[in-house]
Amino acid sequence: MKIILLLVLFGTSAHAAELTFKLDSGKSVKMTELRERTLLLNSSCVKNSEPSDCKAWKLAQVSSATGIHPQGGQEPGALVCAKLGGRVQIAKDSRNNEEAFCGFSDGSLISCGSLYAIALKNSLKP
Amino acid sequence: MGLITGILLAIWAVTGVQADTCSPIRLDQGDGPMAGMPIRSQGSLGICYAYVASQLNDCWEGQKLKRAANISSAAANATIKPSSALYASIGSSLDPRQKNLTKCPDRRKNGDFDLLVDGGRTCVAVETLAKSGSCSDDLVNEIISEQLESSKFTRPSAAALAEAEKGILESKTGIEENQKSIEKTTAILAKLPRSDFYYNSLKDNLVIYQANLKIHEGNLKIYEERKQQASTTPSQEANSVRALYDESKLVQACPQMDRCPRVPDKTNPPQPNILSVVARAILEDMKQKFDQGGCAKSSELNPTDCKLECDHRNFFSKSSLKARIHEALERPNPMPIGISICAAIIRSEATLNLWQKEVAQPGSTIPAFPEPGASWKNHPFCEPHAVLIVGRQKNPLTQKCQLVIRNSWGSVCERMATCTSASCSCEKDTGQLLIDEELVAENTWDIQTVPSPFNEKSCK
Repeated sequence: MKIILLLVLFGTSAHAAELTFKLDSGKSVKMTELRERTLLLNSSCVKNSEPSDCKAWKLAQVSSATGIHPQGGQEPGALVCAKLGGRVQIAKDSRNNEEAFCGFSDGSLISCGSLYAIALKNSLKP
Repeated sequence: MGLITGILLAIWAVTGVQADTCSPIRLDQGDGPMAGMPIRSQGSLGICYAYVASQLNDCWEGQKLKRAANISSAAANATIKPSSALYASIGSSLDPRQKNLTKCPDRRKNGDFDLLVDGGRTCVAVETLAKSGSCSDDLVNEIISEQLESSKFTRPSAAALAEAEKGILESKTGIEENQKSIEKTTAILAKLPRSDFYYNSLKDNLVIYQANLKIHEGNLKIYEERKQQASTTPSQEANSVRALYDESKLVQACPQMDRCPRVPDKTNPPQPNILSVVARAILEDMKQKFDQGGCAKSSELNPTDCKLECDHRNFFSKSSLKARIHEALERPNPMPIGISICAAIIRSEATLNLWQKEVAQPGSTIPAFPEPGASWKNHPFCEPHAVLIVGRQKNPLTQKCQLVIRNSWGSVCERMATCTSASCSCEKDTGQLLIDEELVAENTWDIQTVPSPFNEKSCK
C-alpha cells in the first residue's frame, strides 16, 4: 500500500515539475511543467497539479492560431501572445537556455510554446 | 554476370560514399565548439539573422578563449556571456550596405510590425560585431529595464489616455458652445442696426467666440494626437524593443512613402526614402542609449589582429549546397554554419493542417502547398528564417543523412510546436532539430560560414 502511495506521489510530482527561471528583467519566477512538459505556467497559476484561475490560462482557452504567420523567425506563440494583449518576456532556465513567456497584467505567465499549442488546438476545432 | 556485379559494385560504392559523407559530427556535444552554449529564444523579435550572427560570434569568442586558455569548449562557452542579438541587429541595420533595405511594411496594420526585420543579413551582422564589438544580452536587458523603468522610451500611459480623452471632450464641448454662440450672435447682429448700443460689444464677443473656437479646434487636434499615441494596443507593445522607439513617427512616415517613386523617371526624380531616414534615426538613438549604458565599453573586447570574417554564399544547385555544408562540417576545427531556410519545413503537422484551412477558404488566393519534401521557397507561407547547422548524422529509421539544426525558439521539444514528421524531428534531450539534408537543401537560399580561431594564424 505504501509503495502504491509512493508511486502515486512520485507520479504526480513527475507531471508537475517546478522550475526556476530568470526573466530578462532580472526577476526570478517559479514555473510548473504540466501535462508531460507541454504546458508551462507560473506556479501560482497551478493548483493540485492543474491549471487554475489566472489570466494566462483563461486567455489561452480563447486563443487562436489562425492567421499567425511569423516574420524573421518570430516564435509563433509570441504572436499569439501579442494578439491576446500579453507581453513577451524572455526567461533563462538553470542551464541558461532561453524560453519565451507570455505575461499578463495579473502577473501570470505561460510559455509561448504552450500558448501556441493551445491556440492551434482551438483553431483546429471543427 | 559481369554487368550485374559491376552494377552491384557501383551501388555499393555509391552507398558506401553516402555513408562516409554522413559520418556523425556534433558541434554541440563532446568538445564541439557549441558544447554547453545555451539555446536562444527570439520571442516576437523578427531578427533570426542576428540570433545566428550572435551565436557565431559567441562561438568564435569561445574558441578563442579555448585556444588561449587551453580549456574545453564547454568551459570556455560557460565563461562567454551570450551576446545580444538585438544589439547585433541594430548595428547591422545601421550598416551603409543596409540603407535601402528598410521598407514600409504593410504588415504593421496587423500590429506585428517590427522595425528591424527588414534590415538583416547574417554576415553583415557578424561583420558588424567583429568591427564594432558585441554587447552581452544581460547588459542590454539591464539597460532596457532601466530605460523602461525611468519611462524614457515608454509611450503615454493609461493616465495619459484618460487625460487625452478628457481634453477631447472639453475641446468638443468648447467647439460646440462657441459655434452656437457664433451662430446666435451672428443672427442677432444681422437683425440689429449698426447704431444699436449693443452692436459693437456683440461684435467684440463674436471675435472672442471665433478665437475660442480656433483654440478649441487646435486643442482637439492635439488631444486626438495624444489619444492616438496613448491608444497603442498591447499587441504593439508586445516586446520591450517596440517600447524603445516612438512608433508614431513611423506611422507618420509610412504614408509619405507614396511620394517615393517606385520606378524613378525624369519627371519624377528619386527622393530619399523617408522611412529609412526615420528608421535610421531611431536605430541610432537606440544604439546610443545602449552604448551610453555600457555596451561601447564591453565592445572593446575584440582585438583587431584576430578578426572574425563571414563568408556568405548563395546556392542555386542542391548538390553544391550540400557539398559546401559537408565540407564545412568536415574541415579541421569546424564551426557552426548559418543558413537561410523556409521555416515552413520546421512547422508542426498541426500547423500545416491549420494553414490548409486558410488555403481551402472560399475566395482564397493562397496556392496549394508543395509536395512533401519539395521546396517552399516560392510559396507565400515559406516564412524565411535563419538557423544554425551544428552537426549531421544518419536518421536511424530511414538511414538518410540528416542535419542537426539549432533553432532560436527555446530548448524544450514538447513546447516548440516544431518538427513532428519523419523527415523533421526534435531531439528531446538537446532541443535540436533533426532534418533530412535533402529537405534542408531544397529549402535553403544561402549559407554563412566563419573560420575557427584554431585555423587562423592571426589568432595565435
